[in-house]
Amino acid sequence: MDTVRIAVVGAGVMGLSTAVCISKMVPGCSITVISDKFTPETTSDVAAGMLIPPTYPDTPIQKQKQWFKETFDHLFAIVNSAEAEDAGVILVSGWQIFQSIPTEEVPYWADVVLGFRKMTKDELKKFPQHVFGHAFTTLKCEGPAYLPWLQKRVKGNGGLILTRRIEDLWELHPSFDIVVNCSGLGSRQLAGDSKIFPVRGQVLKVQAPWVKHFIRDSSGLTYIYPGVSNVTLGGTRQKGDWNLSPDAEISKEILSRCCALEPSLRGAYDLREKVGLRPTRPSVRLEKELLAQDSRRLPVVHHYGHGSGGIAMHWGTALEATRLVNECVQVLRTPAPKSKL
Amino acid sequence: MAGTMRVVVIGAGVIGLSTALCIHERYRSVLKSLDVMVYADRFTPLTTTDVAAGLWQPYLSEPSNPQEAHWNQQTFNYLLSLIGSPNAANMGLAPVSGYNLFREAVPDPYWKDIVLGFRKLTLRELDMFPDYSYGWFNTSLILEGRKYLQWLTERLTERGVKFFLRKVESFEEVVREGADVIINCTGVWAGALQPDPLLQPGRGQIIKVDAPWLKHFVITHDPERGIYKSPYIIPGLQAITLGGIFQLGNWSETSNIPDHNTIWEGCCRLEPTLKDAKIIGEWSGFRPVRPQVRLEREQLRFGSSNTEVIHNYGHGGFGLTIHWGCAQEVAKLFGKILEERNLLRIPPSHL
Repeated sequence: MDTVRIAVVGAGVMGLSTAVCISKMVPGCSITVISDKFTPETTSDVAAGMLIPPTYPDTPIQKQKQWFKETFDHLFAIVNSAEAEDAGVILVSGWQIFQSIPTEEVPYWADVVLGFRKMTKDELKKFPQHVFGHAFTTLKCEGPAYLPWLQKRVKGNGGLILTRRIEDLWELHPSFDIVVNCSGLGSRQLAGDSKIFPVRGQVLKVQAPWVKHFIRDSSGLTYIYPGVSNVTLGGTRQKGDWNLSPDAEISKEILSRCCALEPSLRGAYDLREKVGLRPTRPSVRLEKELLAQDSRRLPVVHHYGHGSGGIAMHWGTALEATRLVNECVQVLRTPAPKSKL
Repeated sequence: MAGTMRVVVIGAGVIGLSTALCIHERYRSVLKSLDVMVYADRFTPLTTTDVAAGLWQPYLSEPSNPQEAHWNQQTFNYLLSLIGSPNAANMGLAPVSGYNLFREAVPDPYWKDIVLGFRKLTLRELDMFPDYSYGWFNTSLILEGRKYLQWLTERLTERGVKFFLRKVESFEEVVREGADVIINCTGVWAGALQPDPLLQPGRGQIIKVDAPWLKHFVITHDPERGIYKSPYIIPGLQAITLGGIFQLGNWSETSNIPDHNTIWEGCCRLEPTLKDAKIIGEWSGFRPVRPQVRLEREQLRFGSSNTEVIHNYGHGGFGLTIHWGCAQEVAKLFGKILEERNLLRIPPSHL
């Protein structure tokens, strides 16, 4: 049986986790991860990595819950192992607070996170503008540690990692038999996908080690996420904005909003501004496509467009992408029907 | 000196300094003149308070003196009211959540409604701790001893309270120097000033590590072995405290290797990622163990003097947890002394 040569385009959390899944679940293949950007310069490196999922309007809730649960379980196993610190996965508790009572008081993911319950009146006293809240324990998965950890696993399973900017997926033909497209916003060009657009997020990564809890306003615009070695303060949601340079006015404004929720942040020091462009789509693109040009054929599995839910959904969607890759492999391995003499 | 009330606080741990502050805050303005001095042979970072992890959590069983439960609650409510001030972290104060773990079901603690969000652990949460089958989750507070003592020292200094490094050998020596009221906050060493067979050291040893990925406290309990004899991991504002030693009657202040190993092995078993933690240091201290806190007045008779002592010592492993309630109580007793001596200025009536 010939080795099936698989190229994974993109080395953010999607590319790397899909590469790891494929190397574990699809026998008889070689994997090469190709990207122009690697950690710490990917979008996944800017993301706070909190496992609090968004809602994709065009995807059935059951599917989203499955993806989130698979990701949570995968990271939960890591957090309970001795590797947690290497992999950049930590357990963190906190509160999601609402300025008015939501129509849906219990979100679909309530039983996936740990210890989910409504906040007590005493707990809400800490947030005078807010009348309702969720208290729970979840995970945080940090790109700058997680991505190198995934990269080590890709290499450990025999995969290759190449630095190269791909302008056209056909560049990968005929060196590769199957392409897995995890290029995020790059798919606008690489896959001609006009449905994907950036939602710009600016954050501050600060030193405030006394902050042990996350606090998230239900609008998703203001959040405080304590991590391994810094606290992420956010944020913004600027649709269609491609600007990767931080805006000083926005930073001041983010700090002010966060200090309103957690006054001790006025003592935060060593503030660093970061910008990430969330690769946003009405739904994650998880599907096969057979590219055809003249007599050339190139099977592609698309796996991109997670918006603000990249880290939260990555393992679940990587598993699904891997199933699709497997299907492509099966097709390649099925012998062509012999012509009858 | 007529008109001046001279108060000497002996001891500069959390009990001494908070009591001094409480008295000064309450009575400076109603006395003609109030002179508060702190005498101690140890100041931060060399006090017992500096060794404490700083988690607000009383013992699991109800105290024999129900007032202690009340003082614990007062302290929590006081500290909670300061959360939300921009200065909280400067005081050494921050909210922290975490786990209390048991090998079998236990009744809820009497303080379950004092802390925030108290609940039992779910099965999935218990999966994180394979050696334990039952537990609680709640949000409490960290009050880091060292930072808090520094903060208290600043507040006292602002108020003109003076500090003296000296080893007090007897109440008499302080009385003869002219003290009107002595507040005895000498902790585990109170027996040196007045024998107290009920007071014993409950030696503890702790390891401080750098493990900033740990955000929760984890306290295990082994009812057969007793309180604080089972591993615990308590995050401070920067470093993490690892512990699990409680040795009644042991006066050795040096840290030893067998205890280090007990702590290290126990905590690594609980939290395997600790293998990557950098050890910052190791300390030992003596919890001032007593069946009840000694908080009471006592008249001293040396010659013709009429000096009162207010004792405030014996807070075991819950000094930070109970300190403010006790300080308020001492201030109340002090107020009684002032009343008895007709020293309280009648506040001017409002027009």
